Amino acid sequence: MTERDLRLIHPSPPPERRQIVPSAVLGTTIFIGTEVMLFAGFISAYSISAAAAPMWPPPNQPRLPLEMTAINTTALVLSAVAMWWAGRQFAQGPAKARLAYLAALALGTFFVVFQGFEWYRLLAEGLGLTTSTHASFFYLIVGMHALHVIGALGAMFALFRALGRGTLSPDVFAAARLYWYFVVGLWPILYWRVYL
Amino acid sequence: VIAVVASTLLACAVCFDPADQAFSRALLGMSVFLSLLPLGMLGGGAWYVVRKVRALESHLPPHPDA
Repeated sequence: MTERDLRLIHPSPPPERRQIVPSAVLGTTIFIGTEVMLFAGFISAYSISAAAAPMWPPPNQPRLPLEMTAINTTALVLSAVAMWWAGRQFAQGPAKARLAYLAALALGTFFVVFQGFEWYRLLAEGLGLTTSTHASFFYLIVGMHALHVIGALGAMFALFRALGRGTLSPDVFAAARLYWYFVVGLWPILYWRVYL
Repeated sequence: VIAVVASTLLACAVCFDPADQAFSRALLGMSVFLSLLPLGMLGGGAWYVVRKVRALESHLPPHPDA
C-alpha cells in the first residue's frame, strides 16, 4: 500500500488521542484490585473463623504485641507521608525528591525489620504456625502483607537508583507511589482486624 | 439470595452451629462485603474515568464544524 493509498483511506490525520491514565498507573491499579480481593478473602475467612470460635484469640497462647506493632504502624504511615512529599518534590525537579524518597525507604525497611523481630519473639514464646487457627491466620495474613512490603521495597530501591541517574519517569514513579500507598493503607486495616 | 436462604446455607451441622448468631452475622456480613467490594472498585474506576474525560473535554477547543 502506497502513501497515496493511505492518504485516500485517511484523508485527514487521525484525531489526537489523549491518555486518561498512564499505562504504568493503570497496570498497577488493576494489580492492586486483585490484591484487594486477595486480602478481602483473608479478612473474610478470618472474621468468619473468629465468629465461629468460642474464644478468640485462644486463651492459652502468647498475646500479640499490640503496643509495639502500633509504633511500627506509625513508622509505616510516616513512610507514606514521606512518599507523598517525595511526589510533590519530584514535580519541582527529580533531584529534590531524593531525600523524602530515601526517608520513605528507610521507614519501610524499619517496618519490615521490626516485624521480623516481633515474629522472632513470638516464635520463641511458642506461637508457631500450627499453634492454633488464630496463629495460622496471623502468620498467613501478616506474612503475606510483609511479602508485599518487601517486594515493594525491592522495586523502590531499583527506582531510587533510576532517580539518582535521572532516568525515573514520572509515570513509573506515580505507579510506585500508588502501590506504596496501597501497601501502607492496607496495614491499619489488618492491624485492626488481626491485632485488636 | 444468601440473605433469603441464610438458614439453608448454614445447614451443615458438621461445620458450624446454625443457631450461632455471631457466626450467621459474620457469614452474611462477609458475603455482602465480598460481593460489593469488586463492584465498588469497578464503579470507582468508571467514575474516575468519566470525571477525567469530562475534565479533558472542558479544555478542548470547540470543533471547527460546530
